[in-house]
Amino acid sequence: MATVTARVSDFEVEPTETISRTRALWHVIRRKPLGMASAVVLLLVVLTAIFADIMAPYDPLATQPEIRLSAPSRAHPFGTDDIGRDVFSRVIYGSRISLWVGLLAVGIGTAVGMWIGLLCGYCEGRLDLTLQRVMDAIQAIPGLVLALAIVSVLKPSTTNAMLAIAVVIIPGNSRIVRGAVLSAKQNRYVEAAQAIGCRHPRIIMSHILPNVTAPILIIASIWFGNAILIEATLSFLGVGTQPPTPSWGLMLSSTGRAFMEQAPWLAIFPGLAISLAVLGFNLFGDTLRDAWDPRLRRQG
Amino acid sequence: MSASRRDFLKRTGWGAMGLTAAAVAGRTPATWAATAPYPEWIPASTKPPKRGGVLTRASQWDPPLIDPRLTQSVGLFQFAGLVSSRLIRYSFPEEVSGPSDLSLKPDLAESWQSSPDSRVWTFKLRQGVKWQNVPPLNGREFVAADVKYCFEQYAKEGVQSFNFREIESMETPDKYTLRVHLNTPNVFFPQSVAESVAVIFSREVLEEDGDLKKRMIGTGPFILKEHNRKVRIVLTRNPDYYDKGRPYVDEYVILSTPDTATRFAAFRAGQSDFVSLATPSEAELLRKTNPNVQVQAYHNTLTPFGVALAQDRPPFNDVRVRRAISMAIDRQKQVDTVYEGHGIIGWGVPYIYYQDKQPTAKDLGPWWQYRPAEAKKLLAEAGHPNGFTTTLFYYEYFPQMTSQVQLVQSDLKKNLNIDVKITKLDYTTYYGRYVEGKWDGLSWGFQSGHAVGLDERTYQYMHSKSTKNFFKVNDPQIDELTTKLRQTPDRAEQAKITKKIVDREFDQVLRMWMPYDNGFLMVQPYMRNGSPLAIRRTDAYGSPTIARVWLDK
Repeated sequence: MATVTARVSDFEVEPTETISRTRALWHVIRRKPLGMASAVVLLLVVLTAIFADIMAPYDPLATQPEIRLSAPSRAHPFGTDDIGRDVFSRVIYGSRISLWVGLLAVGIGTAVGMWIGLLCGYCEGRLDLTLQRVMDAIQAIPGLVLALAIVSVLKPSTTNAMLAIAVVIIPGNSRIVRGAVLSAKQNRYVEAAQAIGCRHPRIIMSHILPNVTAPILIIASIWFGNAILIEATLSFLGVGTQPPTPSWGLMLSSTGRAFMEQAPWLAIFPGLAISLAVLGFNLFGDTLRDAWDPRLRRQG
Repeated sequence: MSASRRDFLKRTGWGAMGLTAAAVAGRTPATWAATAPYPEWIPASTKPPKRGGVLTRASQWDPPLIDPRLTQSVGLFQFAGLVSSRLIRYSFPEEVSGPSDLSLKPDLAESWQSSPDSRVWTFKLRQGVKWQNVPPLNGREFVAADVKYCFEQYAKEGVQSFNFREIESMETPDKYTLRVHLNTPNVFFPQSVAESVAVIFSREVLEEDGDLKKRMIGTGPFILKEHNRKVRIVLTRNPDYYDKGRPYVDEYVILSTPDTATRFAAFRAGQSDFVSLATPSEAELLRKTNPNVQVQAYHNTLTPFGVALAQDRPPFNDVRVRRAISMAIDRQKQVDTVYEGHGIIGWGVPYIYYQDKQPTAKDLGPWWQYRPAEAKKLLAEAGHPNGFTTTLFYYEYFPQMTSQVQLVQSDLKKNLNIDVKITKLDYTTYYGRYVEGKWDGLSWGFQSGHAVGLDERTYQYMHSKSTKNFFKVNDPQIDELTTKLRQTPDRAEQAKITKKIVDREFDQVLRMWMPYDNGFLMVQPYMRNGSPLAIRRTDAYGSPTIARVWLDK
């Protein structure tokens, strides 16, 4: 008898505390050095982009052909390029393009993908079937090829590169959101809301959307790194950002590749900037996942 | 052993940082030697030529299509002149007195002569020449009717139609004689048919296929064995070539290699037998690893590239705007830096046709000097005191071009507040848009590099009615002078008229030439007789020279 009583008490659910997402994230960042490092890298990239005017020692477009292809020195820590522009300043300004492209492309891609996913998951039926087949068709084309095709049809520019990247992002996002919505729909509070006659928009906005934001944000942070990489690739292939705008990918392709042997710093520093930013965003995505995974969000 | 994604990222990050530090730390500031004392000209070998071997070249170009009626692209003419012959040709390296020797030699025609008024030209063809032994030609005899048919087709459509439409009629009194009647006198007609683009193609292929996009069969020293777009072109020796014993090599392989670094690497590794370079530092770099290679530092007689302005509409139809822009560009700085001093300031008509020495900046006149203050004043007079916004599209033929485009943009912004929005295009889009002429603003324009003859460089490229007037020149004086030039047989008089054309061009800034490299050709130690000549680069439009190249192995 005593044993039975003890078992019942063992199975009693102890009161748990649900911590906020910010606190959970901070908790993980503090505990995991990689999380901290990624946060620092991100902060660095963001601050560099915001304060490029203050941080860059030279005008990134100012040419000084007399000192072209100078190796890294105190005056020019990353050296100079083929027409004597300061590579350090160009890398700093390049962060603006990368961040801008990342923000807009991922923003558009995530927003559109999220709405498609929400509609598909919530409505199901024919709408779901049709939209998801369209998404399947888009996903069947490799991302870079699709982006290249879009930019080739439009016109090489940073804006069109952003749009192309957004289109690449949409299908994947819509699928993840759709899955999350299908799962969230099974919750009793959604059924309850439906039972008391809540309108569909209200159910979607108030009961489903807040429960699918975590996967959206996690995937968006990972896509951010990919977007930077795709922009760099498009610029590298000559269909993204146009000269003389300082873009990491463009720097890598135009001068970095051409003068690789004579001036390796022209390829190394923009390449390193791309790697660092992409690495930062990827690791930060992992950190977000760790922090916001429902299994880890409960304390006790 | 397995590594997690994080481990991988972590290790990659540390590895990249280490490599960066190692690469940058080992570098000293780029101080390249001034032009090394490379010869301007490598004379032909005196040794008896050897037969056999495979000649290979990593090429930056790829033919957009192989129909010689439809394109003048260097991608095609880097080999078309080896598959097909012309009536007349320019001299090969072992036949000339120097790189600027532009004397004509017989090719399919043994001799040629004109009527006193230069309107009727008679060509006596070489007898016994056979088409390549490939279906549907199967080695049949080459006759005058073939040339007549070919010239008629050139006149019908394509980029060369303007040249060939001056033919009023043709007659073939016998199998080996072609008589050409021109609409107007043209003393340069033999030069026109000797241009590398005037190759004789076969009637049968055109009639069977409807175009020449799939097959190329000619009477030249090589047979086109394989054309795999963007991969390679393989030419194999034509055993029935009329010039017995030639060509010397069994095969010529052209590997499509658009990336400069890859071309250099191929040359270094011995996978490419010759390569063109733009700057002394590139030459030095290759010489460091391959000290035994032969280097020729040739001198260009013209520049093929310049800023083309839409001068058929405002604001560029105002000569003051063109002059202001020209004065705002520091060309000498481009020569000194981008081309490391081994370049020319830029002009479009080969100077060898009107003077002995290479022009200096001063020779080009007041509008070609760097005078930003005067430029600003002139632009204000033209009604643009605050500058304006325009566009510029280009294709990067070589990396130095992008440097130049950006320097021009920077000069125009700094000196005239002209905001130039640059668009870099792929080759096909660029070529199509530029040649079609339906563009506004600016383009980094070209005049085709093939043209050796004076008529081509003047009348064909500058006359307002020409289909090759890519720079949109529309000047009655130029029309008159270029027409007069082609009717003037006397060489001294030709030089005087040419100078007048050039002076007028510079004064009106009709074509805004930009600096260009003087160039280097680097060849493997065993390659003989491949020296480039004035306006005839062995790797480009001067490819027929390959028929005389041999490998001393």
